[in-house]
Amino acid sequence: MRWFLLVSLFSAPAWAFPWMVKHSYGSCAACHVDPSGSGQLTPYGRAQADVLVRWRTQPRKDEEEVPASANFLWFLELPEFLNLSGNFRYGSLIRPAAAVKFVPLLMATDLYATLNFGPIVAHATTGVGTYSTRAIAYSGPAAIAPLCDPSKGACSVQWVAREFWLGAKLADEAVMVRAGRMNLPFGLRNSEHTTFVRALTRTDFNIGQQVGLSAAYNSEALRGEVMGIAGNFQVGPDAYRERGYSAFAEYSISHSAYLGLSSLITSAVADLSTGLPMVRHAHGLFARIAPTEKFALLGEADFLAWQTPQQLDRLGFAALVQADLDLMQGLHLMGTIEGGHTGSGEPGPSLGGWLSAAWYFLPHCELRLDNIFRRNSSATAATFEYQLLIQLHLFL
Amino acid sequence: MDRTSLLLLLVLALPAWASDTFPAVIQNKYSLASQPPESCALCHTNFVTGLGTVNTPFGKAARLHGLVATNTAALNAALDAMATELTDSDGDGVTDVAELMAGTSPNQGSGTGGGAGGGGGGGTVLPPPRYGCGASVVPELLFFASLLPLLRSRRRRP
Repeated sequence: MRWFLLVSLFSAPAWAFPWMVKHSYGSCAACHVDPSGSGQLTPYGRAQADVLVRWRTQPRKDEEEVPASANFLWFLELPEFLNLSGNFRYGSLIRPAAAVKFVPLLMATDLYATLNFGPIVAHATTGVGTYSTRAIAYSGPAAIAPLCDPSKGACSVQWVAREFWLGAKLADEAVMVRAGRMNLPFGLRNSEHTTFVRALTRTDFNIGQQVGLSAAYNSEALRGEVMGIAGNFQVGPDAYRERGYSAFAEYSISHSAYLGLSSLITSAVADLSTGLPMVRHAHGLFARIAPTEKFALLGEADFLAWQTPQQLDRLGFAALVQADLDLMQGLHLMGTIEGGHTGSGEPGPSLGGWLSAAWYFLPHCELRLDNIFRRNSSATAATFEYQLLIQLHLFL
Repeated sequence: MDRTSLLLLLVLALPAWASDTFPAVIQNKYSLASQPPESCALCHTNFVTGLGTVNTPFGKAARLHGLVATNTAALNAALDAMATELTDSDGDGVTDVAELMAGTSPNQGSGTGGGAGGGGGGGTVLPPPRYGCGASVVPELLFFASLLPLLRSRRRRP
């Protein structure tokens, strides 16, 4: 296994975070179990996280050595068929102008397990999440138990299972077919899951997973995935479940420039926001460009439409542009501008600006600060809010 | 305005959704002395009209019963259906149509029975969403069970 890692580590580029385009990594499948990125890393991805992502003040000395942190818990070498890891993300949200000024956020405490038997892959995640009436969407749609009734107040801790799927790799691993509960293939898979592009399209990887069938394709020039959505069976009753499709395709213009298309149409008997029968559309473009090895630009713009059986109900949009600068390896400075409109009678769009810093201070350890400035537009008034989000993220 | 601009305007302009005549239609339908007291806010939240603003309890119930912007026939049909189903959007024990005829608000629990704001009258309102397995285990298992024949047929191939 170590020999395999050595060969693969220095023979092909790696792609993980959207900004990995800086390192000429376009496809996500080499580093992630999910062929379209995010979530559990492959052993190769764990090694790359140490080589390319972690903070270093000096270049690596032993270029030939596979980093020890490629192992589970930094030291435990697992058999080739078994991949165990985890994801812990804890945050503190500070809102100076709000009534509740300090909000602790247990964002993710997931354990990941993947079994590889030849071309067959089985993947599952399990963890706990918090639930409250203040933030019902926090982990609710990913919850397995307990059942929560918002009218009876907070339910504290829930058992959460975001992903569980069975897949098969075909065509020399260029194609992967999966069935189960998984992330929706749409747009940038950025870690800021509350951005308008993720929240308004309901495609964030914190709570946006659905059950369905998918086929993913990865090659040097093209990658994409199409998923038929059977619904989120962890939301009930059935009327609230969305069914339809979600898909994206991304083309490599060069080793440092990628352009993608996304499309999603779902239908529900009762929309989770309005309770009305609704067909939801989201269609958009996204791009990842790295002019230099130190700098990446990410962008996404999505057109949104909501349709009742009788008529077009409303139109909206969501857009994001993010610049990511490596001050040095493992130390990122990010600026994000975003906008969104739900078409619900707001006089103008909601706008946001993020000034963020991420420090990968140890292998698989990230400390992150987000200064979030938002002008939230509603039908009655526009409000301005500043939030400071501090996160500790460990990906075991 | 040049021809290109005019063409762009025609292509990109949203359709007009104003339903200015609806309060008068309701007044005439039930022979009321005046238009419903809430006027546009009977259906539109916070008096803001336009796409996506028909979100009051009564407005949502009307949409569930086929209300379409600017379409008075659809409004009449929706009101008739709500009368038949005894829809009570604010859950105060008085049906929406009865409240319209009495000049009270079908959105604010102004009737004589029940509690205010509960909604759920007329048997058309869904329970709030629940999160967790609940009744979902069976359909989820059915989904995976439906995949088994595919796996079997794949194994049978030489």
